[in-house]
Amino acid sequence: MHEIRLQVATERPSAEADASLYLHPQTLARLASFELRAKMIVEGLSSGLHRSPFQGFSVEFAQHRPYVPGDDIRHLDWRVFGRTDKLQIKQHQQETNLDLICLVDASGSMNFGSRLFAEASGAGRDTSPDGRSNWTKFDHATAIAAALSSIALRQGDRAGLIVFADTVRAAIRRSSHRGTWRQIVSTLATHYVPADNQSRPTDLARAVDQVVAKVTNHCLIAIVSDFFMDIENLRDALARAKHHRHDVIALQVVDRAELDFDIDEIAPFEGLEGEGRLKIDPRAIRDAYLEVFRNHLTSVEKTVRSMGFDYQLVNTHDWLGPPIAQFVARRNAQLKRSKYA
Amino acid sequence: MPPFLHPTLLFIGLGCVAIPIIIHLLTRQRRQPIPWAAMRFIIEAYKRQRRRLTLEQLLLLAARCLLVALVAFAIARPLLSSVTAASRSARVVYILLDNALPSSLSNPDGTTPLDAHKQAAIDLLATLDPARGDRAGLILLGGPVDPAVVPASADIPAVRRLIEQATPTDSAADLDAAFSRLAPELAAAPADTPPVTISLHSEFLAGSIDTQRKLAALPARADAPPHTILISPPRDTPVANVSITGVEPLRPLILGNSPAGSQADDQVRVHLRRTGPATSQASTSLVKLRLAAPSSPRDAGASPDLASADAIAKWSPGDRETSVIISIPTVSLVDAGPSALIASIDRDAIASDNTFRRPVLARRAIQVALVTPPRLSLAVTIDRFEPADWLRLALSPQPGDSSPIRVVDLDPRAIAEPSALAGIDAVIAPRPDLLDDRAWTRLSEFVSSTGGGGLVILCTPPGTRAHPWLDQLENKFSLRVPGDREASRPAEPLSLRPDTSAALLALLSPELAELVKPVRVIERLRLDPPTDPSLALLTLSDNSPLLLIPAPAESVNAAAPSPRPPARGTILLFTAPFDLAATDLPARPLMLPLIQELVRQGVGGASASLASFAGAPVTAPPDAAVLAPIPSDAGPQIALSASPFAPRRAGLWRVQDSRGSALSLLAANADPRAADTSTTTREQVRAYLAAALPAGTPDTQLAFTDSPSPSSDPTNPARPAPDPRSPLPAWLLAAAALVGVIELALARIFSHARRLSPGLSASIAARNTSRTSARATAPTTEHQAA
Repeated sequence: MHEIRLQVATERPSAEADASLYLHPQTLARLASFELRAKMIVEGLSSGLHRSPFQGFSVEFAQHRPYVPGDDIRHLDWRVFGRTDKLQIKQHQQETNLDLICLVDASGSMNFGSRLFAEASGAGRDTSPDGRSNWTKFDHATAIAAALSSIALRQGDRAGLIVFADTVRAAIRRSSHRGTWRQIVSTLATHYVPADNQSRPTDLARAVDQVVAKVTNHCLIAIVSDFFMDIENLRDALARAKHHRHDVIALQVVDRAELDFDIDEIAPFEGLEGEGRLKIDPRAIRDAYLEVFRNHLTSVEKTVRSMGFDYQLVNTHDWLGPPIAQFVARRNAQLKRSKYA
Repeated sequence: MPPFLHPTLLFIGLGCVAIPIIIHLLTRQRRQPIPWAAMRFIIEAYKRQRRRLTLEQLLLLAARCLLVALVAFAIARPLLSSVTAASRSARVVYILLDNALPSSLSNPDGTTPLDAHKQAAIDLLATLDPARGDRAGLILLGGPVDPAVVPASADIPAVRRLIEQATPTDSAADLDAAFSRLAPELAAAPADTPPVTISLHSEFLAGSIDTQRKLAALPARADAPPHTILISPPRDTPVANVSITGVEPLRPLILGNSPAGSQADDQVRVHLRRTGPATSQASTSLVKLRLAAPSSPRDAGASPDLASADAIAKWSPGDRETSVIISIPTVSLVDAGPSALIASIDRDAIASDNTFRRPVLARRAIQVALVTPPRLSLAVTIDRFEPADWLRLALSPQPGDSSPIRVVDLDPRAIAEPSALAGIDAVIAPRPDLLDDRAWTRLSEFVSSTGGGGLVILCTPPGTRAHPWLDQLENKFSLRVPGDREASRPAEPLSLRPDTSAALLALLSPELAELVKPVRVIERLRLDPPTDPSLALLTLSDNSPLLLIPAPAESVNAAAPSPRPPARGTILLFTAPFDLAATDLPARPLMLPLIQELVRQGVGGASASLASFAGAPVTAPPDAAVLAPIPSDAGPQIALSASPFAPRRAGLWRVQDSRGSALSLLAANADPRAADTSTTTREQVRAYLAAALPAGTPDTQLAFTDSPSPSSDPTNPARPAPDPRSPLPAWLLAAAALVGVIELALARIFSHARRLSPGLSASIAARNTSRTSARATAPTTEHQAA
């Protein structure tokens, strides 16, 4: 049984966020070797590792990086392998760039976490800069967005950020500058989730509408959310993204307490998005809750995959590196198989 | 609401029912809310489970409240009969309690049947609940029947007190009168009232009920359940009992004054009866007889014995009745006025019938006034005897003070003097034609005087044909003397018929046939024979009376002649003059015993003493107000509210007026019919009582209380009453324990303190494992990973 230590942020200082609170540099270094590819044919501003409808651009060697499963073996540098017995991938400077837009959910439901901040951040601090001692789903989403942005920026792609709830709260224009990543982390730390428990539910379709209206080229949209919304809203949002030929990665962030619901205390439960309070015996409805919750997760995954997009469930109690790396690798492998097929 | 032994505990316990409710409410107190992001899923899960959760909570709350309530009920100890009778309607029970003479029968353990019947009746009352409309009535069967509580009353405690105060009577039970009293009450009850239960508590000995007597019928109930008669089981063990059924002196007047040195005894016959198993054996009974003179009302008490004697009555095998003659010495008898012969035997099963009292008049001598004009010549030859001379000779054949009958000549003109008849017991008027109006009035007062009245013997005067004095007789004494007013001579002399049924001549009756043979009547006053044959003491051959008791005027035309008025003396009328020219009776052997017997019996019978059996009606003197027991400590005085009255207890009683003056003596004895201790069978009892039920009444409506069928009837009020000392009701405790177990099981089930179903747990585990396969090997924190 989990020891529930739940806390809702009440105040967040306006100081510039320290990215290391959410994503340690070592983790970023581990993720640095990954490439984030678009599943669809994207229309980059320059030639790159992404398949582009524009042919004939020259290719200029930039650097080597270690081979990871799923990489195209055409880019293996056999000479280096012959000298050092190490598989190295040749990266070229002029490949077509990928535009990554991270849509981070900042609705009220994201302000929930049952994990200690000190345990999750690893930055040597017991509390967040705004005084919270728990690690919320938004914190975890911030880390994911930072990680994905870091990967994209490291491979020369452009990265942007949209913070949304019932509407778009903040936006960072796509850019491939090195400072973009810190700007993204700072924005995530600044645009915190309201703590009045009365915020409106997530309106992903509206946020996607606003995003695709401003984006003319095809992008990779990473939606980091708990997806506590109606499936119809999710389906509308994904349908619009697909209509505009964007690629989507759905990263569903949930807390372990939400997954297990192993709570014995009889107390009123209060919703974070204005659902009000309900006093129940959690043991009495645990089976029903788990069934409903599991059905929702399944529905979200089915909806995402039915559009041809990728889906990943992320547990806030898990270490961020392995699942992100595994996800990116698996995705790239799939792209590779489909490419050669 | 059924009655409880501890109602206070019940209320306290029921108050404790609020405890689980309070606990339930306290759990609703505000707690720190848990913020929860996935609230929509909790709400949806709760909507799915809401009905079941509400039902679970209600079941748990009900089980806990029921548990507390059951414990409270168990502690309060409900009276179970009332619980089982919660759905019944109001009941009406009439208790017929036999407190007659057999109910005083002594059991070997010292108890009496009445004690058992009273307890059974009280137990029956305990099953009634006035709050539900139950009512109870009470009729005491000892004659005369006492409808103590009729109609039935809701005041059950008062009925119980009356039952506890019931005492045995010395009379027989009168079940017929009880049913007669009950029938109008049952008939007057509306048809929608519940059927009445008649609970009859009796030993049903032969003395208790007369199975040969038909009972009054109870009314039928149209379209309604019939009434029920519950019967206590008849006594099945016969009891030996000897009772004195009668004491018969020769005459009601016992005279002393025998010559000095002689032995003068008066014989008294005592009758006895025995019942029960001892009738087949030979035995003896010692009978003690004493002549007692009650003291004056102002004396404290005891009645001194004037004479006493013993005798042994012998019983042969098979004898049920016997008698013994006891000679009671009268040598030293003194004038004691109204007295009583008291016969007694040794105490046996029933004590009240071991003593018998017979009122008598004990006198050393009696005074007879012979109303005749003074005679100038002192010596008279027999051929010149006047009627007075014949009478004087018959009254006192041996002149002198030794005769118990003393004759006093009284001038007819002196009768009107106030003191003329002082001390006189009897007046004989051979020449009533010489009496004036004042004399007639004085004689009338003498006959009806307080304290008994005297004896008046009137004779037809000789030498005259017309007899207008008969009119005076009728007017002054309120009598009717129908017949001729002129003397007549029949063609042939008339003889006397040898038969008579008069009590005054009972002693002469065995020899009367021989004594009347020589008597001839030549001239007589032809009167109509009395309607009542017993009033004609001697009858002539032409069926006209020679000696009669004139009937009262009001009863002449009555269908049934009434007996002699109370406290009134005796009037005798000879229709033939004591003159040899009219009849040779004065010269015949009949004359002496006839006159002697008339005087002795007449004076004794004219006394004011009353004799009766318990339960039989007695006509009291007009001014009677109180019955005072003799001796005075024998019991409480009884106020007389009506006449005739029927005493319920045997004993000697002094009848007093409102000022305490004695009017007469009453000797009441136990009813000999009630002393029969022979047993009766259930079949006899059932058949006897079934006759009182309407035709077509089921046999089940007539049941013995010890038979299984009545107790299985839920409407039977004769169910045993709950014992207040009984332990806690086991069934309630068992029910509470069962509810407690159920509550524990429900609490365990509804607490949901169980693990997930295996399938769901495996699904969740697999899901978590597949998604975070590196979790087991990866560092817990980002920092550790670094």
